[in-house]
Amino acid sequence: MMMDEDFNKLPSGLGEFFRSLGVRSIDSTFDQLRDLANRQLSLGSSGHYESHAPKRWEDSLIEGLVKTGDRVLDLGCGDGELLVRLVYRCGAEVQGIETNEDLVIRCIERGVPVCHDDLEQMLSILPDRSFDIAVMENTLQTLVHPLDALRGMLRVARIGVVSFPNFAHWSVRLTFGLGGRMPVTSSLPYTWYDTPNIHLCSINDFTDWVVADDVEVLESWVLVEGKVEKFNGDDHNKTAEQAMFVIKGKDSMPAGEDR
Amino acid sequence: MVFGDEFNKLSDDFVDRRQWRYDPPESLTSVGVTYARRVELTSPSNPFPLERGGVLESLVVEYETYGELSSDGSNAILVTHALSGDAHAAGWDGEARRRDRQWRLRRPGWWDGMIGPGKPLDTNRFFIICANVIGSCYGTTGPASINPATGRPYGLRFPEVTVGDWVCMEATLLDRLGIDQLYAVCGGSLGGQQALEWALRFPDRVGKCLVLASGPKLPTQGVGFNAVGRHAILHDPYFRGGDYYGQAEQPRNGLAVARMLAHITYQSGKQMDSRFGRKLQEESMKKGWYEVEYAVESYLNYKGRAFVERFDANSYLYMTKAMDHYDAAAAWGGGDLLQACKRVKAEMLVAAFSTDWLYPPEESSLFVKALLANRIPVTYVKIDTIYGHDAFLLEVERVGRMLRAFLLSPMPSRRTQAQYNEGSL
Repeated sequence: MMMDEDFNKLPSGLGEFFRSLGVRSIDSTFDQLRDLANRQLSLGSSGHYESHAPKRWEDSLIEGLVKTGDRVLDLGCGDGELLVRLVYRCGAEVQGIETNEDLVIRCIERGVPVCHDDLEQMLSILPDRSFDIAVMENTLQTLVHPLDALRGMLRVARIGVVSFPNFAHWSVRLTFGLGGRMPVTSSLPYTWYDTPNIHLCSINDFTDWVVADDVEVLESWVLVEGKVEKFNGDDHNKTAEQAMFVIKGKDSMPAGEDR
Repeated sequence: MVFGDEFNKLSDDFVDRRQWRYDPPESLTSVGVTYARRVELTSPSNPFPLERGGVLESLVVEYETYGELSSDGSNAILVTHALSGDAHAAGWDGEARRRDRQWRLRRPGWWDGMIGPGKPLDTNRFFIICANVIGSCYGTTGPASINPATGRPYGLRFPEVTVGDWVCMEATLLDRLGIDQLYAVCGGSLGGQQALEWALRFPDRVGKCLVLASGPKLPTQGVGFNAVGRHAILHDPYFRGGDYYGQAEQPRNGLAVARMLAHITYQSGKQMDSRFGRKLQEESMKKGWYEVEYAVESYLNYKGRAFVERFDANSYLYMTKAMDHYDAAAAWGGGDLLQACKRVKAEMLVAAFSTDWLYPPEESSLFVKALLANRIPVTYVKIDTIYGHDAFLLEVERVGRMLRAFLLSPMPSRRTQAQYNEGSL
């Protein structure tokens, strides 16, 4: 059979793997899959990082924004997962800020330069335009002065990437509006007494601020039922669990000029 | 390391060691019994120049090494010691008795918790070098050494030394040992100043630079503390302008007072509270109402007395002066720290301790800012501790965890950049 012939050209083990997935050689995507698999297998040691899928939906989108040699600042970098990916996959120069000592040690072990300090305090001492991209993943709602942090972010970096859980998601409305209890959802997994979230907002709240502060939104995505969609208008304020905005201060210089 | 009979004979020296929490020399995680080496870095035609003028006709350096240098010489770590430190950073001194350093019988090197097989500065992996600095009193040429010109001890005629001199001395020593590139340089306090100076003076020779409880300059408060210490020594009636060597009476009180004050600055109020509180010393010790009353007094007295046994008053003057004078911004950036930090090529680790009086975290974050402004990736750790300045010696577990992680971490920020430049990624 022709199928077997094509499968025999694959590296050992891959044919069996494709068969177990139900992939056939007459599938329209077969060539793409084979090429992808071959690329993965020939990557050797650097393929180590390729084999890890990102833990957060924002990570792969951020990867798309970062270019080789960009300086990326991650505010609240956790264990440095995103930054390691950016270093190895995008060739970025990175810097993290994290307050949790255990997570800081994880970052150090991974070779991610990290500052163990309060990010709001750190933002205030960083010089203007010292980074290309500042990232704040799921951290905004935990800050004491979120707007100061957003403005600080746009001051120290060319563009800012900020993601947050949408407090106007229908599940939140339902549990609070009808259930009468503080919402506990997949994006907001904390109970009222142990939540680090002190300044939650909805997508509409955020876009209001964007207009009020004259900030330019370059791109925006939302997570709707586990799928990433481009953000478009009011409906997402009900349906999106999380949102991510790529923002830029109006007065900041055009991309790439001050590099 | 020594084995067999000789080892057993030596072990007898460390008879009361088991009551301490220290690793005994035969422990699998101890570097064992160590022997310092001494090398003369100068020759009659090649004296050692000093930054603040003058030369040393003869410079002998005492140093210790642990672990083995790899064939390509890429695993060398230089450990720099602090004010009262010495080259004996780890293990048990095999010559403590012979060279009349009795205090070393009771305890291992000053960073024994960090250096050893399987410890954060892993001697199975790294070759670790620690050298006693110029002006100190532990084997390297200092004010107590014999001046070849007069045949008598230098005293205060010993030329002034700086942190820069020490770094140059260390570099010369490494040249002698055939080490071109340091995997890392690591030190705390005054040793941290040396580590930083390494990264500034020889940026191409340092891979990773670890600065603990230190910074580009000693804040004013620290200069003030040092001044009081020096005042106590200089005004001791037995100081005699530094020429007290061989005299029956030594400036013991002055040095003890200096150490007592310094010891307070190395700790934090919280730590003293929790350790001593207002506990009283036993009544029988007391002769008059003005005598030692509180436990903390007796402790400081003890610390002062113990220090006098092992340190030289003149060395204290020279070392504290070097500490006061050190100013990385002035030396490398014309007063501008941002400019100075441009020189750094090493991976930087800056560690500050929350209760440190001498180098408070606020000072460290200014330094971190200067590095970040120059687009130098920096790892900054602020450790919440009650141990004050001495935390870099005492917080063995937490500091060790951090050092281990940083020393073993890959260097992606630099490496990938190089790989991109080569086009291999």
